[in-house]
Parts: sequence; structure tokens; C-alpha cells
Amino acid sequence: MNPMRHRRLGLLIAGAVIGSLSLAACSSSSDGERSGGGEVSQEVKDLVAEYQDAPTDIKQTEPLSATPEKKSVAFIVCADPTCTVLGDALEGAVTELGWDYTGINAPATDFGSAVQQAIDLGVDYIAGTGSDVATFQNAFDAATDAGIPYFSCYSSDVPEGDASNLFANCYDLTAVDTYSRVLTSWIIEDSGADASIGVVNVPEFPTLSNAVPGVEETLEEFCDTCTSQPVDISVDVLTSGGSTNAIVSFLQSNPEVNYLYLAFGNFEPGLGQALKSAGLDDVKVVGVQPQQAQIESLINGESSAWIATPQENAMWTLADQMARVANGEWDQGLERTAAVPPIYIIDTVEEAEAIVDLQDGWPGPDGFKDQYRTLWGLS
Amino acid sequence: MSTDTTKPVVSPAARRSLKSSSGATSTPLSVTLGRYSAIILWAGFTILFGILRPDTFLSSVTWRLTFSEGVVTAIVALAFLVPLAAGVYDLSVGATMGTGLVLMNWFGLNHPGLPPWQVAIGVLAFCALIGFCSAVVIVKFRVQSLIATLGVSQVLLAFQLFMANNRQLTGAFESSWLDLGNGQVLGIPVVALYLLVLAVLMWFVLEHTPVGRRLFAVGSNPEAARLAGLNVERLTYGSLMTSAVIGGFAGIVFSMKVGTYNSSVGPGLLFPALAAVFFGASQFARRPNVWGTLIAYFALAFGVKGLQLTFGPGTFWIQPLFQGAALLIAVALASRVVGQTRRSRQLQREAAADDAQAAGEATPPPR
Repeated sequence: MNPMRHRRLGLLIAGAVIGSLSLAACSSSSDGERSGGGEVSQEVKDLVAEYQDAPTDIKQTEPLSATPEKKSVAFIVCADPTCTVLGDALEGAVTELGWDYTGINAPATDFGSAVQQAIDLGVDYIAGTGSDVATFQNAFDAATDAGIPYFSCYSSDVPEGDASNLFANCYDLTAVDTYSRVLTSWIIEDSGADASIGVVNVPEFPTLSNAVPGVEETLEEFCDTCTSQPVDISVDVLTSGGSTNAIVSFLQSNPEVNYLYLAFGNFEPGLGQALKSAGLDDVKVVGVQPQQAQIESLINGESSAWIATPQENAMWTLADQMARVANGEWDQGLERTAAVPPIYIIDTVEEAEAIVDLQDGWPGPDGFKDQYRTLWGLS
Repeated sequence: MSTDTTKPVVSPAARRSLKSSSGATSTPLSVTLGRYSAIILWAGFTILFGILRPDTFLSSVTWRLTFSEGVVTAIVALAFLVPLAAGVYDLSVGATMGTGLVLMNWFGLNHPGLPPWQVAIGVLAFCALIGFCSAVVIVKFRVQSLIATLGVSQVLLAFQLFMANNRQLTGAFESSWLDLGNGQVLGIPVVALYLLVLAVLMWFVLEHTPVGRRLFAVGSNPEAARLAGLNVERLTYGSLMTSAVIGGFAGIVFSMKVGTYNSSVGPGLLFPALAAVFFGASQFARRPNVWGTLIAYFALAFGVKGLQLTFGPGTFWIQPLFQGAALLIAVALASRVVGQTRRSRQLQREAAADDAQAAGEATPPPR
């Protein structure tokens, strides 16, 4: 064998290993230690108390001047199972208005083609969730050119009405800020201001990664004895079942972390069992947007608190904005009012058991549909 | 005609030349290292991260968890291995795993009276049927296995979404079923023992039975195997059905371990499984093999674990890098071996021609 070849191979491998380690070192985070606790301010206690009970009112209070005339709506059903649930909810809402509904399935990698399909159908309004306009800009521009208003939820764009052709974005980043503020306050109170929080998020999705600064800002405001660190999970790791391992590794490397904040409930099946196997039972798991599995995990003692965000209510909020556009009564201030949903903290087994049988989670405040019907002049 | 006249006469100089140039008497160091590279890599990771993070990387918790978390993917890899031995690619193994999982959950939710073990037997039978269907497409319709199983995987995904109504399925199992996937025996995760039993069984069948030898014979040269009297079609059917059953078994193990169905679970395991099989195929016997696959998979898993523990969550990009690099290195090593074999054959032919020429000058040609 040619010794030079061996040498080159060895250098190549050594270079690759050193390069990887250097890159990894650049992306590493520093370890922290818990302070031993501080004082929980009255403001934090009040904030938590405000969200302890399930709300009874929707956020929108301004009634329409008249019931809107008939329209047709296309909803882009994204590849995530949650979108099917949302589509069903929107269909229920627009049907209530006497409108036509069409659901269009979007491929996971091409949201824009489904939007284009809706434009070709000649619908009056198009709605979609979870995708920023920039990810399907061409199709969005085509909708603008065709005079079809677009409505969104769970993305990071700010609606500007006619100026941008985006007329709604419910449960957006401002909503994420609210979830972070409320749940971080719960952690501060629960820990006695002695919390070290790992914020599990997916940097690719702004509505999830925004939890990281949200938690940080709340800690800066209310708890100088608390710390937080991001736990970034890539979509690839998420889909290949590696996120549990990544989360457990993070907790093993950071034994001071005593709270795991999941920016999205449906992060990883099996996290509870993995934490138990790793002897990390003392780490409290909290999160946002619980599905049925997460509510069950609270009952089983595998998680401690969840911010219940009503999915069905989101789609009725969207339909409400469409009705306002239909009547020529759209107003950015009113839209922003409803962007942050009514939420509450589920932190007891009793509260969890009350909604565990609801397959799609807490739908919204009691009688929220009647409240919307009243706003729309239908009751 | 005496035998002496037909026996090739090789001059000592030519023999020396042949040996030295083809490497017939000594295996090149790079080939030997390549053959055991997964073990070397695993040992290297253990030493490196054992030094960098002795408190966490060398803890029993880390080893137990890494084995436990990797079991399902490793079973999917073994499912891919069986048809690969016969030269057939089964890209539907991940989807078959997901199908097994969705069926376990669906029956658990809709027919809670049925014992899970009975459902599991039904699931394995259904998965065997899936493998049979794939084989029909490949054997009867002459569709390339890569394309056929890719298509089957999408059909299976559609089936899963239909069964689950495009939702996460949860709460289907009693704790007694989940205990079967989360217990430990002498500190070893019970699911790792399931994997070990499966691996020993597969190793025995593939390496020590006529069936295994026939599979490899078909895999290395199907035409030659056919001419030798082997029933290539039946072996293709058998390998794909076995693969699907093992894929279904992975779904059953996942149902014991986690108990929740999610449509992303199965397909997401395909690439890590493939990387392990191809990396593993460059190990030991330099053909698809059980222990090479498992060692390759866990070597990479421990590498990822070590980096996560040492450098924190900022290394989320490490996992795909490792799997992609492993696949590339494995294929590169395999190509290198093939290249060496070709070069060796060429050199042998050249040496034989030289010898024949030399012998022709010394002895008269046979009549």
C-alpha cells in the first residue's frame, strides 16, 4: 500500500473529526447553576391566578353591523395532522355563516401549489395555517392579483389588510409571547423562583422558536434568580425520532435544569418514559398546545402544566375576520384583539380529566360558538 | 496427453509479481481497518467522550438509554437487511413499521377487549401480506424493487393516515402492555433483549443455514443462482415477507415502548436504518450482515450521544451529518474493495497471460 495514501486518509479523518468538534464547540451553550431561589413577586402570583380558570368569553366583542352575504372559502390543509382538525373547525364556522367551504390538501413541501389551486377554483377567501407568506410568496402574490384576501393562523406575519392582502393571523407571535409569559410565570411560582428552564423548540418555525426569547424576557422581568437555555431540535431529528435522545442528553449535560418547557405539545411521543428511564423524574415538563396525549401525560404524572390553547376557537376567529372583510368592516385593531386567544393553565389532574376525552383538546370558552353567532347577527 | 503439459507453468518471478501486485497474500491495512471501522469508531467515541464527559457519557444511564432508544430503528435496519442479502431493496420497511404501529393502536382503541398479543399476531400476519404484495409487484410485474417498495411505502402511509384519521393515536394500551417495552432485566432494557434475540436468530439463519447461503447466492448473482437450480422467485417472496414481518415487529415494539401512533414515526426511521445497513455491509465479511449492521448503528448512535452530551443542544445538525457521512463512507469503502478486486483480477489475468506466454516458449502447445 502507498504510505502517502494512508497518511492522506488519516489526515482527512482527523481533519473531519477536529472540524466537527470545533463546529460543535462553537454551537455549545454554557452550563449554569441554580441560585437556590428567590422571592416570587405578587405580580407573578397575580398573573398565574388570572389564568388558572378556563375563560368564559371570546376576545372579540365588536358585533357586525349585519350578517354577511354568502361567500366561498378554501382552506389549505397542511400535511400536519393538526391541520385536518383545523379544517373541520373552519368548515363548521363558515357553514354557520351559510358559506361554502372547500378543503385543499397541501403537500408537505409545496404549500403554494395548494394556494394556487384555491385561486384557480375562484373562491372568495383563502385561509391557511402555519406557513409564513414568504414560503409561498408567488402563490400569495397571485392571490393578491386575483383580489382574493388571505387569512392565516399560527404564523409570524402581521396582517395589514388591503396594504398586504393579509387580513388575519390568529395565534401568532404575540400569542406565543403571552403563552411564554404565563407559563414562565407559573414556573417561577411553582419553583419558588428557583428555576432553570430548558426551552425545547424548533428554530425552523418562528411560532415555536419565539418561545426562547419569550421565556428569557419573562425571567428578566420577574426572576433574576432563574435561568433558561434553548434546546434546539431540527425537523430532521424530530421526524427521525431523535428528539427524545437530544432532550435527555441536554438534561444529562445540564443537571441544574429542573423545568422542560415544550414550545409545542406534540414534541415527541415517549419523552415521559425516557425521562423516567434516565432517572430524570424530578425534571418537570410543561408546555403549550397540548393534544390528548399530553393531557394524559399530566394525569399520569409525566408532565406538570400545560397552556390550553383552543384550536376550534382559532378557526371561528378566522371566520369572524372573513365576515368583517365581507361586510367592509375589517379593522386591524379588532384583528389584533383576537390574535391572542383565550387561554388557561391546566395544572391539576382534575382539570386534565375534565378535557381528556376531547380528542382535539380544549375547543374554547364555554358557549364560544354562541358568542360568535351573536356577533354575526345569527342569534 | 499428460497433465504436466496442461498445467500452467508460472515462473517464480511472475508469481512474485502477481502476489506483490494483487495483494493475494496480505490484505491491505486500509481494507482491514475498513472491515472493523465501526468497532474502531465506537471504541474511539467511547475513549474520546469518556475523557471529555466521563460523568455522563460513561454512566450506565447513558448506555442503557442509547440502546433502548435505538432498538426500534435497529429492528427496522434488520428488516431492510434480509431482502438486501437477496439483492432486493425494501424501502417500505419504515412504512411497514408505522403500519404495524397504527394497527396496534387502532385495535387497542376500537376493540379494547382484544388482548394486545392477539392483535400483534394479526399485525405480523398482515405485514407478511404486505411483503407478499411487494414481492408480487417485483416478481410478477418485473418492477425494480427500489421503485416497487417506494410505491408500497406511500400506499402504506395512505393506509395509516386513513386508519388514524390523520391524527395522533394515544391511550390504546393498558400499563401491562407498556411494561413489556419499558422494563429492565438485570439493568438491561428489555427491548434491547428483544433486539438481541432477533439478531441471533437472523444471524443463525443468514450465516449458518442453507436458506441464508441461498439468499446471499441470489444477492451476489441472481442469474448464476437460477442456473444453479435455486428458486430465485421464491427466495425473493420469502425475503420480502420476512422483512415486512420484522418491520411490523418494530411497530409492535414501539407500541410497547411508547404506545402512541404518529404518522411521522415510521418513515423517519428509514434513513438511519439504511445508513446502518450499508455501513454495516462494509464490516466483517464485507456483505450485508447482522452484527455489522447493529455495531454500525450503535457506533453512530453513541457518537451522536457523545457530541450531544459534550457540546449541548447546538449540535442538532450532528445526527444527519453522521448518518449521511456514514452512508458515504460505507459506499466509498465498498467501492474501494470492488476496485481492488477488479484490479486484482486484471493483474491475475495479465500474470496468467505472461505465464502462458512463457510456458508457450518452453513447452509445445497441446494438440
